[in-house]
Amino acid sequence: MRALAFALTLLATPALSEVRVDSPLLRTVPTGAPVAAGYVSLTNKGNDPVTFTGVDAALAERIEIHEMVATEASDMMRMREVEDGLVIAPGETVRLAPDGLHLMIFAPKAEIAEGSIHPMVLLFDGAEPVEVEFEGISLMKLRELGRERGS
Amino acid sequence: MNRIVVFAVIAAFALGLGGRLLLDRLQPSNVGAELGAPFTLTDMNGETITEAAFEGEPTVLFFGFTHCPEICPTAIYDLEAWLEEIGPDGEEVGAYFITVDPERDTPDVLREYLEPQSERVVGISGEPADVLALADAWRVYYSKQPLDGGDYTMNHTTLMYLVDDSGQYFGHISYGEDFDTAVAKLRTLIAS
Repeated sequence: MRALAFALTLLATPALSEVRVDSPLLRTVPTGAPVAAGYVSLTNKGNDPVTFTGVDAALAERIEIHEMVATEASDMMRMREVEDGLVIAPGETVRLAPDGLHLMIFAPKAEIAEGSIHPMVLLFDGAEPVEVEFEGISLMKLRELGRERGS
Repeated sequence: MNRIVVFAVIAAFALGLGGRLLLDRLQPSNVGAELGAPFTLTDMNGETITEAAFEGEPTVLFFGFTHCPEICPTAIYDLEAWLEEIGPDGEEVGAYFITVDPERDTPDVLREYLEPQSERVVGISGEPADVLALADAWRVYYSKQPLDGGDYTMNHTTLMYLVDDSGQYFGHISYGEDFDTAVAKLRTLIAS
């Protein structure tokens, strides 16, 4: 698992932008799946707030930032689009991770398989766009990574 | 001015009460065993399916939809993992994925969605009004959440229902339930 985590760090693009990108991952889905979910950690290395506004990718015409809120008391799940983007304060890290914030990928055009690579461009207000290669990962491995990070 | 205040108080009370009723509706423990109803729908293979499918073996029901990026595939994945842990006894458990989005989730769409994820889970769809009546009968909450461009996603109940071999509500597993707790609940269902 260490090796995978290390490999994922290497996948993140080196700094041209004020934003550091870590662990760009896509949950595996079969060909033809109606939707897919993507995850990534974004750290603002600059001195001013930055807003993560969206994604450009050949993988899908439409990718949005969504937030899922699972309300334990009522065993219900609510979903909403984060329409105005995610503001990242200077020095802060925003994590898109399972069961919370995620990239909602509509009608992915390719199979997202374990280890498959999907280039994307992350767009920001207040920082340069960042080109990133997202990697397909199974739910099982995604959970192992989450546990290693203590989440 | 006073009238406005009185109206505001009444409105606040009504909203509070409504929220309370909604909450009650979402907690099966409050409603006893009176869940479920007879139905005639279509399974993902195009065959007619009725409430008889939930009888004769312990059964798990999940109400979801295919345009669901996290909860629904996670629920299916978890169920498979729990039953694998249980081993041979787990093989007799039936599992059904009932859509809360029957307009988009036709039987064919359900089959294409479910087959790569599970050899066990059978999708149920059919006439939208009839499918949603089944969700209502299980007191499942569902509502369309509009997205840009006329698209939508669904808010929905994430419970997994456990049904005994007479087709009656036996218990439930919450989304994100601890692995050992979920396995214990399934073992209890199988032993019942």
